[in-house]
Amino acid sequence: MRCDVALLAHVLLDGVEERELDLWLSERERAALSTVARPDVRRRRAAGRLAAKHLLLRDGAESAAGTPADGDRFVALDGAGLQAFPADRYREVELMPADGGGAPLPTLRGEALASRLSIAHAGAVSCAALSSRGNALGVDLETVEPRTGAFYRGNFTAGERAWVGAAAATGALDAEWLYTFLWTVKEAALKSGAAPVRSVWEFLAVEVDGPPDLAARLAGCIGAELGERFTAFDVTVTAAGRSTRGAVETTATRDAILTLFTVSTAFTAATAALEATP
Amino acid sequence: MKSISADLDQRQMTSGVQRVFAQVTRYPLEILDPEAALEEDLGINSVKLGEVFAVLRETYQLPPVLGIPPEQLRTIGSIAAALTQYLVEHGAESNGNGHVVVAAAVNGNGHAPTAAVASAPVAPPAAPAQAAQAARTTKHGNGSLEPATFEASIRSIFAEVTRYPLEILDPEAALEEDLGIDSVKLGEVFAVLRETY
Repeated sequence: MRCDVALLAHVLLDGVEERELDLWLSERERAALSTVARPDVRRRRAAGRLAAKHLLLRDGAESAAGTPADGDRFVALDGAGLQAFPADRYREVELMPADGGGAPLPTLRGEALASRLSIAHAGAVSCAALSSRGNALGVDLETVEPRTGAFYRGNFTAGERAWVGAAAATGALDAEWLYTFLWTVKEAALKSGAAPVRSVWEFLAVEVDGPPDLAARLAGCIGAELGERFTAFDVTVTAAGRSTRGAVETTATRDAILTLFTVSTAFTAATAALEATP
Repeated sequence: MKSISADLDQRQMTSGVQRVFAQVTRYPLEILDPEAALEEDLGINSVKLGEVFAVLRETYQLPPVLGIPPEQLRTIGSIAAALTQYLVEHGAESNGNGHVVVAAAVNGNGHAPTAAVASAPVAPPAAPAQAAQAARTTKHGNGSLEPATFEASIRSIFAEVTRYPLEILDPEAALEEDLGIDSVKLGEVFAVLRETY
């Protein structure tokens, strides 16, 4: 199994006119984006798609060349990086929204690709993740910032809150950062289809269980830039009596966290039913 | 008490949901068009939605899982419709003025109680049950005649009926001269007070 992550920083697109970005998008993609009212949302969606297209093109080029598939798995893209492939190659890869939402479905010259993609945005950065062999995956990217008290009570289980309390007490990472990390795992798992919940509304019913030394591992993934340091470990995501194992890879700064969740094995565990309590 | 009326109370719910969005996102209310797409039109991302949903759950005392399809979580209007439907199906009651009382945490302006929105990430956060209990107490006081609770409850009912922000409702202000509350509106307030106590 191979998954790639690409980052595309918005700031690198500053000064690039929207019509220039359009050169890298298909006609149908441009039409879909034109329905989005906010320029900042249009821009970040375009950036996420370009990052995803870059990964697909690179993956195709590597496969054609027989390049080993364990090269650089994380690419921080700038204008020059994007132009590693000509604009018409980008236009040949099309990412249209899936019916009912979810990750866009990739096609190459109209033919469906087996690759699975996930795209996320936060602050000034968009990112894409690719599983070239079609394994279920999800990526999430969030900025670390103070949130309402209800957010912490309403999205994290008692066990998770106790873990954050204990981990924050060591002083290596603060509670806001740790809660944001847990959120990225839940959202990446939701995007991968591994968390048996329908939306972020139900995150209180999802519990993330990591290795005993999780906090120490996380402290080791913080660098000056996203992609500088990674940590990898397995987690179990449980909801509604169903548990799913996933491989998590996280890279972070003090202000932003990017988490990739790849489904390993799914199994059902005997857990207490999460009954709704009106 | 009578069963909540879906058509009447969806308007109230939309207003309540709008105000929770305003509170969490700090967007002016007038921007928060109930029909606007949350991400595409308003730029509200998923983690911000997570904040809003957590406040809504505490405000309306909703369970963690409602089974709302994701496509119903894309506008304020559709979220309000989904929550109204849930409350109707689960026996929420109206106090006769079309105000939902099952939730008992909205102060009438849709403002969530302080306990629900206080910024406090450090563990251990206040238990949801405690917050919900505090919220119940701040609205109708559960009929309590303890002086502080009673006064807060009455102010909350005035806020609910008049839609004035709580901070305007100074306990010493003259109802008509200072606050412009006319006799008809006062009658509405008294009706709610009678039902509550």
